[in-house]
Amino acid sequence: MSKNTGFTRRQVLKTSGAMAITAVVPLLSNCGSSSSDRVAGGGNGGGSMGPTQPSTYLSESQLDNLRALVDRLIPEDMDPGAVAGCCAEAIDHLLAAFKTDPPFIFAGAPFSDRGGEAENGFLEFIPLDPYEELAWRMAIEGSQGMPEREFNGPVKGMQQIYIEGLARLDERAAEQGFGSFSEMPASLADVILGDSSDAAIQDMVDIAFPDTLDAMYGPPEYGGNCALVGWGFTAFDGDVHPRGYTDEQVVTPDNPGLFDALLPPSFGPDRSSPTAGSVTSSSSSSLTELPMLASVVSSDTIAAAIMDSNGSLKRLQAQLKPMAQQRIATLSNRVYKGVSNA
Amino acid sequence: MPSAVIIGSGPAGSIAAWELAKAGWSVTVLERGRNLRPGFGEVPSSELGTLYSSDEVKTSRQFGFPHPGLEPITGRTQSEADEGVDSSIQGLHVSLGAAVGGTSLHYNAKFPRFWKQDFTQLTDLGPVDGAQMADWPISYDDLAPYYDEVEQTIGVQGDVNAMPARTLEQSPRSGQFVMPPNPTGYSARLLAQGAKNVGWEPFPYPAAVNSQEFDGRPACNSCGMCSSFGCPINARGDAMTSFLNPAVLSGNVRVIERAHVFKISTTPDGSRATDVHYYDIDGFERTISGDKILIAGSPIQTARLLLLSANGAHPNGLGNGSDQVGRNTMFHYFTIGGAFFERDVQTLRAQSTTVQLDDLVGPFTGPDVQALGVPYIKGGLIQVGSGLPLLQEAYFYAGIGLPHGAEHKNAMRTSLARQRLGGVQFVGEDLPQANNRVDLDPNVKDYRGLPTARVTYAPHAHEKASAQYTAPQIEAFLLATPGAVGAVVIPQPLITDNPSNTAHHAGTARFGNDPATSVCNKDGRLHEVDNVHVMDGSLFPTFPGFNPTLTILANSLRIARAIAAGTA
Repeated sequence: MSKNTGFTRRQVLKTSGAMAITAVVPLLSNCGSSSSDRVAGGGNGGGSMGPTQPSTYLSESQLDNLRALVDRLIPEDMDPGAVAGCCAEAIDHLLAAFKTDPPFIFAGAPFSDRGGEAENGFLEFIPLDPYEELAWRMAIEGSQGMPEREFNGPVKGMQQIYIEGLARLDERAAEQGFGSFSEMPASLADVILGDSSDAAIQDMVDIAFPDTLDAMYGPPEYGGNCALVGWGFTAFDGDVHPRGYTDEQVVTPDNPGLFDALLPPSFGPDRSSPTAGSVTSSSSSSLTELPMLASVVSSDTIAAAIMDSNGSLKRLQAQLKPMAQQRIATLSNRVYKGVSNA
Repeated sequence: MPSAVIIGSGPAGSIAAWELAKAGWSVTVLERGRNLRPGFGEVPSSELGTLYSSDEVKTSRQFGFPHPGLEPITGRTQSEADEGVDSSIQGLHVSLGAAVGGTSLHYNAKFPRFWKQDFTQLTDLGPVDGAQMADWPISYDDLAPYYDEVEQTIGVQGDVNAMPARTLEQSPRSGQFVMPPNPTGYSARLLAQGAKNVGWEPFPYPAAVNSQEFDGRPACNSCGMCSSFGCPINARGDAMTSFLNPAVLSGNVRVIERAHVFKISTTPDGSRATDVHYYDIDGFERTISGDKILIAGSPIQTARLLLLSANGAHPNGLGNGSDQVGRNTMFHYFTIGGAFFERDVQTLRAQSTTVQLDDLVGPFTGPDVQALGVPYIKGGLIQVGSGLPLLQEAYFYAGIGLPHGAEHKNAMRTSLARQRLGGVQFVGEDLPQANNRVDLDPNVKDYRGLPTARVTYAPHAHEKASAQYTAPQIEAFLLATPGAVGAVVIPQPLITDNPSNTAHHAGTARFGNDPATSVCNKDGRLHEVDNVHVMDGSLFPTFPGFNPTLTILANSLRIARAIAAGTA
């Protein structure tokens, strides 16, 4: 016999008495108010509440310092940097995530208005359930001595890390005669940020760089990537749904290559593509300066590394740095021979 | 009406619920994650909404995954274990997704079949020192009709006429795929020619992605943001759309989200499970019972639950008289690499990975293999032509140590890793080892105060030899790619003893005919408990180098049908 109360009518009707469900012992308090099992289904996407308005956590002077910090992480050069990308403001919105309802954590779905949709669904943020709220309050606010957040010991939150780090930047600036970190010239600011002996600053940079990357290159609905500057100098198409790409855009390049006529056609039915042939060709091309940077393309593994880093640059590097030791095989003055598509 | 409780709503759990519901069973599915598909259980799968989008920030914020602060997994290498280190890694580590529908909500939906030879590896190739090799208790032919049924139901694209003869000989098919392949990405076409130049045979990757409208859901539009993203347009077949949602709509299945299962209790003699214990979303302890208890938590969490369920009759964990629960944990190893180009080859503008290569599956023997100190090498398939989205590229540069500032900016502008690198991933077979295992961490807890799973791991000499043997061949293929000006190949087992960041997990509750050396029988039933079955990849005694979801689905369907028929 079910004592649950949260079932839809259909589910209650279809659940036989063969199951015995009994609530027995309240174990842990939680931040939710429901008192029954949550049966999956229905309106977990939130209602039509309109765009979620971000809030702020930092003071103006703290935000000035944060702008000065992100300016050193992704500086302006011939292209806009993190200041133009509003990265400090986006980080501030994340620190203030729980001042908004829904919390400013996960943008809405499934489409923005950049891929042909009339309305921007990203603007309406996703309500959190109690699990997610506990997780993100721990991450942002820290454990603050609450037993339900300290099952593995105290947790220092992002708010505290930023507040202490930004204050420390001012202390270091004052030591050199400046009124605040934001007044320092870039070269001196870089020296401070590079001081590996300063724990408060390094702890902040450890999360600030990933946070700045999110803000600069993520969707603008999080408050960063203003005017899509992060997608401009990188020539990134961004989210393209629901329009997507045509078959021709997939199969053939925007800028044709020397060897396109040699390539096998697309698999599948009657796609637009060059025809295959048996050709011998040669290439005079070579990279005179190939950056000695071991790079991999594996969305599966990189995405997992990003998630596992949990916003920490140190943890990210612990996983990915060994890859940089791999050698790169290069071809110089290579001759491309004997192609046969038979 | 017979009843079942299924723990985990990923592919194994969902298809079991679907099958039992069709047979008239009453099924409750307990899922530790939340529902991310509005309309689930209320509308047809073609009308399901989604909270996913082409939003990379959701990935960095672990959307659809357990939070590493609340449900960490710990890890250590075998050598660290020998030195007495409790753990050296704590966090998301090798976690799979946690949501209604499981990791299939944001998988790549690559759907190769295992090969005939994979089911008789011990018999065919003999033992390997330091590895617990075993034959499967079932054959390819046992699975083949279920492969067919899953492919037909979920909708798999491919072209039997383009598949190499050895692939068809080893994984024979009863007919053509449900739909033709999606268009081949330009970078994949370049790399496919490189493969041909070294005598290999590229062919379209079987995938549970719509190349045309199927089951009321639209065709893929090749956005490229597949892995770690839910499909915003509902073009990908998965556990929810094809199995769990229809099962709930049948009226015989309900799904309880955020149900954190922590114990299965038994009769005093341990022969029969009586209750499943879980914490609900508010932290209240609840119990539920059914005629059958089916565990489908994925290999790490399935093993953890069996170990957490130790009692007087099962002092080492439920069904663990063999001491094999948690052992033989396997992760595919990856050799990742790519060919560099001088120009943008548009790697992201295609369904993720449109071309497959089977030329390094093996087994390989002979003097060059013997010289590496192993009796044989079994490799795996190669995924050809994937790309990185922008934020992942930025994290990648930061992760390999490229400093912030001008260096970062220049790297992003040059975009070597995104625009100018056609990527490949070699999926390598990982041999089962007794000391590669999941156990309960002695120190670290989850948010309900339960010991978290700890994974102890190191690659076997086979994996190191395999990586050493295959990497130069992969490099040669990449360098033979038209327009390539360089290549990089990164064989993971030669770099670290930690497991790959992969969603390909197996082992931990292997099935077999001998209760002394296996945890479950051929139908996934615990040898020592009459009414508890393991349904997921935990059962695999070996882990051939192919994406595992199709085989997980087919095997779970096979077992569920036997349960419904009363023969399991």
